[in-house]
Amino acid sequence: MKQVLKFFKPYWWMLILILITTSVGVWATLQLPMMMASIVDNGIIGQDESYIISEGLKMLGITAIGGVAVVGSGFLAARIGSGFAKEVRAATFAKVNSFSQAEINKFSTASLITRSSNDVQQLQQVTILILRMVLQAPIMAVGAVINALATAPNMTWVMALGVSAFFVLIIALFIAVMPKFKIVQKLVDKLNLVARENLTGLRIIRAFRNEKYEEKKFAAANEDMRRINVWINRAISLMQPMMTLIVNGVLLAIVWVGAHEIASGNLEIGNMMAFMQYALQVIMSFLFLAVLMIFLPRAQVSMARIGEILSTKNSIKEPENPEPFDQNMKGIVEFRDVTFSYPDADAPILSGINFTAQPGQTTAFIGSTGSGKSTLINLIPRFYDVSAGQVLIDGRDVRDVSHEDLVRAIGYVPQKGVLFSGTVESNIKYGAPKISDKEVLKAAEIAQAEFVLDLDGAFKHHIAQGGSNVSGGQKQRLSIARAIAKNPEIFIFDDSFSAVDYKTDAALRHALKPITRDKTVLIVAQRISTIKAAEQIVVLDEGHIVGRGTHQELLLNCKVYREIAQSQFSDIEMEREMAAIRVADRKAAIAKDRAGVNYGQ
Amino acid sequence: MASDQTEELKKIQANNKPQRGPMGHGGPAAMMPGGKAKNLGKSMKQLAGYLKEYKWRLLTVLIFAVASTVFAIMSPKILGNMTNQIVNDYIKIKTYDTVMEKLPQGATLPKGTTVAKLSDLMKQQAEVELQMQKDAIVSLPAEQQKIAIEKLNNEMAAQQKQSQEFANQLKNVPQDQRSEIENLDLSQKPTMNYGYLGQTALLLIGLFVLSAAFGYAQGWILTGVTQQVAFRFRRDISEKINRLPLKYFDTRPFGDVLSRITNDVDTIAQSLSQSLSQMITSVTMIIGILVMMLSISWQMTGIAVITVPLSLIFIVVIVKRSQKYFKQQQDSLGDINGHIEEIYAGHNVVKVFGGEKRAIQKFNRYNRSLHESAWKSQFLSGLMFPIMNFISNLGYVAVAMMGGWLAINGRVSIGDIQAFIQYVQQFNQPIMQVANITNVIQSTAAASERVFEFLGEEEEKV
Repeated sequence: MKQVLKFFKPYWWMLILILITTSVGVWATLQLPMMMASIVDNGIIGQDESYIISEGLKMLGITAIGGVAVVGSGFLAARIGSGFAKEVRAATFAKVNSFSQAEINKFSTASLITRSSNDVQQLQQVTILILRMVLQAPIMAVGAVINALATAPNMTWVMALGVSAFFVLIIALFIAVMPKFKIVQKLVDKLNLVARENLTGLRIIRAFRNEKYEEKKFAAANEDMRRINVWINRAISLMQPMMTLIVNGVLLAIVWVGAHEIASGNLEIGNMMAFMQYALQVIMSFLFLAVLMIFLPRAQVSMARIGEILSTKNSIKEPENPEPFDQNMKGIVEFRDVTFSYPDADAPILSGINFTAQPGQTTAFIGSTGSGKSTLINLIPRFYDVSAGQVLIDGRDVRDVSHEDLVRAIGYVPQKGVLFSGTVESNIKYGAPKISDKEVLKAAEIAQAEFVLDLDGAFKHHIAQGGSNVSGGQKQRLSIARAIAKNPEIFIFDDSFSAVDYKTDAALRHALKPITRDKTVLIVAQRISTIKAAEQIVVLDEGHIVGRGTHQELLLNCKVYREIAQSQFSDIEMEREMAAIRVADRKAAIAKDRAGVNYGQ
Repeated sequence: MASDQTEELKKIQANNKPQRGPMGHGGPAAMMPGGKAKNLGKSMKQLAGYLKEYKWRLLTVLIFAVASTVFAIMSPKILGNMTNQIVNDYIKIKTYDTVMEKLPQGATLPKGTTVAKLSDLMKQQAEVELQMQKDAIVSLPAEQQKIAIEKLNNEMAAQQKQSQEFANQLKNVPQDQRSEIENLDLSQKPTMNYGYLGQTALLLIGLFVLSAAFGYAQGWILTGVTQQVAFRFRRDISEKINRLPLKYFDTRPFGDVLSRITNDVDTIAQSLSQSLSQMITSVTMIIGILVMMLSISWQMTGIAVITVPLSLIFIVVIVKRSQKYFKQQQDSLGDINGHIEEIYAGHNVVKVFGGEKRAIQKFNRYNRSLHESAWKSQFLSGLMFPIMNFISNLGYVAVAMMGGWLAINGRVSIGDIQAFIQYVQQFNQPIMQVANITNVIQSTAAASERVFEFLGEEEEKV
């Protein structure tokens, strides 16, 4: 709550100003009945025409002042409300930007989006509403009560009676209707559920001629819905006539009691008429306070939802004394006894991970879904931090390196191609804004993204929000081009090749060879064909490394790897693979034997 | 005055309801109807077909609504009569007090001494006294006579002035009341006519209760009808689902059909009861109030009626101007929401490629232009209420001045002014409702069009 409310701070003087303008507006409104009273008492009963005119002109002046004040309040309310929303929005966005993946997961992307847009918007609406209309209610109530006391102190009890009747009505309705609203929400869900079931199971229902049964089920929910809606709406439609009844009753009571007061000389007629106006204003003010009670909880929910974002602490911390990389960094990636578990998870998703990825080599990760391979490489750019152990680049713990230095060394290609609105060029240049057109073209060529040249405007082609106007495969290739353009020391391909076909996959790997000659390449893959040529393949199963080596070595020694291979290769292919390996193996054995013999000699 | 505020609140409330799509937060519903029907006439006709079987109930609703409104409109005038009675009695009491002040303490007047008789008596006595004094002066020595005559003249002037004032007070009282006051028996203190006041109060209570009862009965019946219609819509849709060819659903998301069952049918039920009852009561109210106002004074009615087109002109101007900003706000909101979605969804990429700063810069740009259009549209749409309030206050002042002037000349009574002020205050609300009714009808039509469209799809041939 506090985190959000503090954004009102820059507007404190406007808040004071609006308090003043609102008070002036209220003062003007309250002045009128009083002056009307003196017109009646002195002007009409006292038979003074000039008094009526002069007092009337005064009323006009006060009306004008009041009008200006209320317009001013409206202006201020709009400025404060939208300005406050602007600050909250900016702070929320910046905060979410600073989040690590752990915090994003905690809220879910969808929820963060609605919080940053809808909830902020809701807050703006309610703020303006409160400032413009509800703020004046308490001021009006106080002012009207004071004026009422001044005009007819003996009749205030009539006013109090009216207000209490009002409250009883509102509270009674509230108590009666609110629980039913919750039931309605449940019934809507139920109706939706039944209809959805009918829709999703349409083929089966048709096949078994089950339509009547479905219709009956729906009709039952429908009837429940109708009944409760009738009840609620009838209860609510009680509101208007009852309110009118109370207001009229109060007016009548004022006249009746007023007659007695006038007879005993305690009250002037004009004052009685003024009192009627004041009583109405007081009742209306209290009605607005009641409305506030309805609006406030909604704003509170939104505020709490935003406050939750703002008060969330980032689990990834920048080092206090960051260590820089060497001028000519190599890009050696080393995992040392790494264990990782997601927040609030029981079992670690990775444990005991040890390996080193050398520059000039490709290190590949393979394993079934949920084996932890994507999680593993997410630890390198610090999407998450390890739970135990260390991730080192060139011997430095990634947690001791500044975020800027760390990500500068990494070219990352996500699982699903992610593009941003702009042009093809702006997307490729995203990680390296200063590169030349030639370099952009080269990156696109390597990434097999020649399709760009056929696009309208080529590299200046417009990319829609989220890249929705290019295909999945194209997105993926542009994502790869973006990573290449950055010319990093370490490439991370998070299962980035599965969206492209086998041919492109092969061409891509071929084209990547020359530029990754002295780079560290880490690839997560599904297809063995993608990583067959990798210098080091790490096989993961349920968070453990179960095999490490080349394709050949693993086919011979690693059961999990062999199973994956068997599921992807046809029998003949498998046979051929194994035969080739056996030949290679025998050759190696013979060579060893010879060596042994030689040694023996 | 206050009822306008309630209207606006209702609008904002309606506007804050969750709508389709993430960007469903715009300006007041009055300016941005939830969607426009392609063929308004056709869908309204189809809707009327659905309502046909409830025609007797709807007719009852109509009669009850009119009755409730008529009773409600009558009451301010009757309340005004009560005030008039109080004013009359008050003047009598005051007259009595004025007369008694002049008499010596504790003196009483014989029964049947009216104000008219009293002033005759006073005149006679004054003449007698004058004669006596004149006689006395004559008997005085000459040098003293001059001083005595002067003194007498002064006394006479003062006395004349006093009786003139008294006569003036009576003269200004309207004719029918003047005779009443002239015939006022001064032998005892007059009081309020509580008998009359009590009877009128009872009559008023009766009217209030009747009006509330008819109003509630109207709402009660109407709710039954609209919910029955909603029920039938939902039932028809659910049955239609099972009669449509399967391929119909290949191209359409389920959500679309589901939203017709819930959102659209809800909109129809809500707007139907709103538009039906508001149309009747608003029109009745406008006519009724006009009649009542005219019965009090055509001059005052003229002033009150002038303020209406004045407010309407202002509203049209403001709506036109603010619409531009609402459009801009909607666009900026689209931009910013799109940016938020994009950046949040690509969070990892933004991080690894160091795009945070640029994302925030772009966001700030969008945020600034959103802020710019947001405050302008909010300010302009918020102007509507204070300007209407200002104009209605102008009307109030004008009515007070005009009414005061007419009252002095005995053309209207104080109770009439009081009633008139009540009428003027009630006048704005039905006019606003009528002005808004086209929007309500539009959204009813749009929602029912979507439902009828679905119900009219070609069915599977058996």
